[in-house]
Amino acid sequence: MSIYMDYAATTPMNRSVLEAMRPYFFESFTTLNYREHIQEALETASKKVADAIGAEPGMIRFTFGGTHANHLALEAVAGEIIAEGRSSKNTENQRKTIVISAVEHPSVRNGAKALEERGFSVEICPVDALGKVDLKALEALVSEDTALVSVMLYNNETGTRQPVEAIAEVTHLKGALFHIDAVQGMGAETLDVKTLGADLLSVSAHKIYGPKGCGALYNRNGWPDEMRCDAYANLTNIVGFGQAAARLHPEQRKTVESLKVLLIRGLDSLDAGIRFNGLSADSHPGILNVYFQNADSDALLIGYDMHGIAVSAGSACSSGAVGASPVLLAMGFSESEARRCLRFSMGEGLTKTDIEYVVEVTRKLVKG
Amino acid sequence: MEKNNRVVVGMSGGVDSTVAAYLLKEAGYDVIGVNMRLWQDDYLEEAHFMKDGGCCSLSSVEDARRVCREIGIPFYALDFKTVFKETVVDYFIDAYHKGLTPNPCIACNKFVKFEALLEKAHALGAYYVATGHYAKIEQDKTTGRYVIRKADSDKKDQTYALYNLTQEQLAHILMPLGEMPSKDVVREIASRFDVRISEKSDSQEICFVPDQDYVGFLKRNSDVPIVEGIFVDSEGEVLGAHKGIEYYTIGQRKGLGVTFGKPMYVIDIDPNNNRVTLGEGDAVFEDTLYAGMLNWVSVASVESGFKCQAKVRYSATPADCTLYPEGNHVKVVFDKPQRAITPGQAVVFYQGDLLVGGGTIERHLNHV
Repeated sequence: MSIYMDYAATTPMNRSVLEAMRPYFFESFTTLNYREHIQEALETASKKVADAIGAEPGMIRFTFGGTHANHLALEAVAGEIIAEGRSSKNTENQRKTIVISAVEHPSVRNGAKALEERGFSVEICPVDALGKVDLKALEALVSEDTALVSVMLYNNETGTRQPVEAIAEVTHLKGALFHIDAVQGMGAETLDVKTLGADLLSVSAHKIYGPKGCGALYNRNGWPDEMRCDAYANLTNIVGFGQAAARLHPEQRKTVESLKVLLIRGLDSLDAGIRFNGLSADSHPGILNVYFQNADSDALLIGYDMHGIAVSAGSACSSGAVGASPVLLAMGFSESEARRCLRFSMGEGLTKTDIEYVVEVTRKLVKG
Repeated sequence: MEKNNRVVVGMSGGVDSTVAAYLLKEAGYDVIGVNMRLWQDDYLEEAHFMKDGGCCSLSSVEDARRVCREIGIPFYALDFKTVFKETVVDYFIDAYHKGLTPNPCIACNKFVKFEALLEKAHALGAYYVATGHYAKIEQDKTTGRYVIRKADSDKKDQTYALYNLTQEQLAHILMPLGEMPSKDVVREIASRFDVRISEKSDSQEICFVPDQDYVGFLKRNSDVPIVEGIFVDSEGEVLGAHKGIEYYTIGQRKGLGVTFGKPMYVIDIDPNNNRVTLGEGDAVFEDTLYAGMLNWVSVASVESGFKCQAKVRYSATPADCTLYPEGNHVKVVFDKPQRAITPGQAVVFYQGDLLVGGGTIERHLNHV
C-alpha cells in the first residue's frame, strides 16, 4: 500500500502535460535564441497561464519556480519599480518598508530579510488563531513609507485563505504595491488577479500537476517584452505549465474537497482529541492541518510512513528532521502543541478507499 | 510496554552505530535507524566546523541515511534540539561558571539518548533503544538487576559515561558492540557493506565544541560574564592575575597566562572568591574525594564500606580504593594518590569488569 497525501509539497505530473511537452523534447528542442521558432509556443503558454489567473499574456513572466517568482517580486520593488510597461530605477521612490505576514513561505520571509541589507526594513504582520492576517494590525503597519505588502493567498501548511481583497485595499490606500504569493492558490479557486487586487502574483507549475522548475510572476502593468522569458528558460517546462494551467477545472477541486470532508469526518469519529488547525469554510480544498492530542508528529510521521502513507509536518529542515512549525507558532500554538501537528494534503488520484485506509491507520497510531 | 523485538538505533553516521544497527538486523531484530538532530552553536556551523567532521553535520545525516539503505532498515532524522540544549548544553555552561568541569556525554546519555530517544522509541512501538557504545548490559540471574559490564575491547570501553542510567532505562537498552574484541573488527564488519563508513575517524570529545575552544563557546553562548580574578598558592599568597575561572581545570599546567619559573598546576578553583589555587607537581595528587548525585547499578544501595576500583575521569585507569557511604554521599579513599581529581567530573566504581555505580565529584582533598 502506498498513499501519497503530500500534494501541497508537490504533485505528480498529469499525462496530458507530458504529452504537451513531448514534442519540445524531440522536435522543437532548440533554445529560445531561435526566437521565431518558439515564439508561438511561448505566446500560447503565456496565454494559458494568463487565462488561468484572469490576466493578459503580456503580464506573465516565466520563472524557474515559485521561489524565483517570489524573489523577483521583492527584487522588483527593491531595485526596479516596474511601471507602465517599462522598468525604471527606484530613485524617486523613497519608500523603504516591506510588510509581510507572520506565516509567509520561507522564500518570501528570507527574501524580504535579505533586503534589509539594502536599507529596507521588514515589518511582520501578526495573524489570528486561524492564521489569518490581523487587518487592524496591518492598517497600523502600512504607511506612506511602505513599498510593498506581500501576503500569500493560501497557507501551504494550514490551507488558511488570507483576506487578500481587504489587504489589497489597505495597501493601495497608502499607494503601496501588493504582491500575492499564490503558489498554493492555483487550482484551489478560480483566480482573478483583478478581484484579488494583486499588483504582482506568483504561481508555480508543479503544484498543479505541471513540471518542476517552472513558475511565473504576474505584473499588473505588464512586462517589457525582453523580460517575459529569458534566454535560458526551459521552453519545454513553460509549455507544460501552459497545459497544466489550461486543464484546471472547478470539478477537480470539488472532488478533492469531498475527500477532505471525508477525512475530517473519519478523523473526528476516532474521538481521539483530534483538532483541525486553521480550518474554515474558505480554507484550501486539499489541505488539512491536524492536531493530535495523543501523539507527537515525529511518531505519527514515521508511523504513517511505515504504513506506506506520505504526509508531512511543519518545517522540515535540510536534514529531514521536523521542528515546530513557525506558522503554527505564529497562530499562538505552544511549541509542544506545534509538535503534535501534521499536514494531510490531497489531490487528483486519491480515492475514498485511500482516505478510509488513512483513517484506519490513524486509529491504530493514536489509539494503540 | 510489552516486550518486542523492535529497536530504534541512534545513528550518528559513524562506524560504531552503523555496525550496531547491522548486527541487530542480522540478529533478527526489527530495526529502525534514527539520526538525532542536536542543538549546535550557530557560529561553528557558519564557520564550517560542522561541515564534515562533526557527528551533527549534514554529511553525517546523509551517511546515516545511506548505510540504513544498505542495511535495509528504515531511516528517520528527528529533532532533539530543545532537550539537548536544556539538559546538556545549559548544564555544560552552568558548570563552568561554577568552577566545575562538566561531562556532557554523561548528561546526554541520561537525558537525551536513553530518555528522550527511548520515549520516542516507545511511541514508535519499539521496546528497545540501541547505540554503538562499547559496553555490555546484562540481567543478573540472581538479583534480577540490570548490570553494566566493561566491553570486551578494553581500549574502547565506554561504561564510564553510562553509570548514571536507571534500571528502568537499562531494561530497554541494547549495546551490541560490547562483545566486539576491537574497533578494527568493527571497521572490518562495516567495510563489508560500506567502505566509506568503515574508514571514518573516531568522533570528537565534545561534539558541540568541535574546535575544542570551550571558552570561546561560553563567550558566544552564555550571558554570564567571564570575570578576571587572582591566582593564589595553597597558603593564600597572591601569585598573579587569572583570566576567569572558566579558563581553568584541575591539573592544568599550560595556558595559565603567567609563568613562575617552575611547573605550576591548577589544584583548586574557588568560584565564590573567584580564585584559582596553583601548586607544584605533588599538590595535584590527592587520595580522597567526596561524591554526590549517586547512582547504583549492580546493587540497589550501599550500606557499608567496601573495596573496589574507581575511575575519576573517562581516560583514567581504574584505581584501587575504599568506598565509605556517608548519607547521600560517599567518601572515596584511594590506595595511591590520584592525579587531578576534578569536581564536576564523574567518579565511577567497578569491581573487575562489573560497574557498581558512580556519582559526581564534589570535593577532593589530601587525606592526612
